[in-house]
Amino acid sequence: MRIVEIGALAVRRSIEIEAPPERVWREFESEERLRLWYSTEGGAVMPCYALTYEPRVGGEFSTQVRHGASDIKFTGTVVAYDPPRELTVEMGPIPAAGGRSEVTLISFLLHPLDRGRTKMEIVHHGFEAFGDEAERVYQMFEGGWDMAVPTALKNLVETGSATGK
Amino acid sequence: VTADAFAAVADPTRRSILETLRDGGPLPVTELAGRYPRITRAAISKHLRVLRRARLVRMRRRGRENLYRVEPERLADIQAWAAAFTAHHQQALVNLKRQVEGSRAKDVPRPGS
Repeated sequence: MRIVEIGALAVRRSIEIEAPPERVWREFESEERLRLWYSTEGGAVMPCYALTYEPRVGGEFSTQVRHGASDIKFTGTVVAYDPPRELTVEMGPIPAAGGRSEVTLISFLLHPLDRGRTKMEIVHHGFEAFGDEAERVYQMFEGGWDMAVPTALKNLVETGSATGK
Repeated sequence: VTADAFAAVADPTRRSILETLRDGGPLPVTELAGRYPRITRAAISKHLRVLRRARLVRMRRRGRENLYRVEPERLADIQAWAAAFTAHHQQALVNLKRQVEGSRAKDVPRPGS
C-alpha cells in the first residue's frame, strides 16, 4: 500500500537491483547517501544537483538543474517517508501552456522481488493538476526516454559504460 | 528563456497573476492591479515584466492601454527540458543500482574471492 496515490498520468522508470529493499533504502536515509546517486552532475543527460534532503515528512527536498547556461532551482517538501517502501517529494512548479504552472510529485518506490532483489521505480506524477493541459505536460516528460536520451545514456544502461565499451 | 519561465513561476504572486489572466484576461495593468489591493501597481508591473521576459505573458496595445494575456503556446520551449529531466531519473536509477551493488560486494566478501 502506497501513501501517495498515483494517477493514470505517471511517468514510470525502473531498474532491478540485486539487493533487498531494506538495503536499497539505506541510500534514502541521509542527504549524503541520496546525493551520491541522485545527483547526475557531469552525467550523460542533464546535470542535476541534489542540494537539500531532510529524510522525514515535511522535510525539505531541493534540487538544482542545469539548463543551458542557467540553473533552475526547485524547493519542495517530503510528502511521504515510509521505509523501506516509498519516498515522495514535491517537484516544481513547472510552467506549461496557457498560464498554467503546477507542482508535480516524484515517488521513489521500492518493490520487493524474489531472491532478495528489488524493483526500484521512480514515478513522476501529479500531472492531473494541469487540467486541460495535463495530457500534454505528461507527454512531454514521458518523451524523455524515446525522444531525447542521448546515445551515451543508452550505452550506460545497456553496457554500464557511457561510451558503450 | 526556459530557465526564466521556471524562475518566473517559482514566485506565488506571479503564479496568481498568471491564473488571473488565464481566467479573466486579457486585462490592462490598472485592472489587474485592482485585484491585488495589497500589492503596489509598480510591483505588479515588475512582475509582468518578468512574466513577459519568460514569454509566459503577452502584451498588446489597445488605445492608451496595454493589455496583458497569457501566452497560449508556451510548451515547446520546455519540452526538451522535460524529456531530459526524465532521462535524468533513468540515469539516477543506474547510479543507485551501482551504488548498492558495488558496496554490497565490499560489505560482504564472497568466499574464495
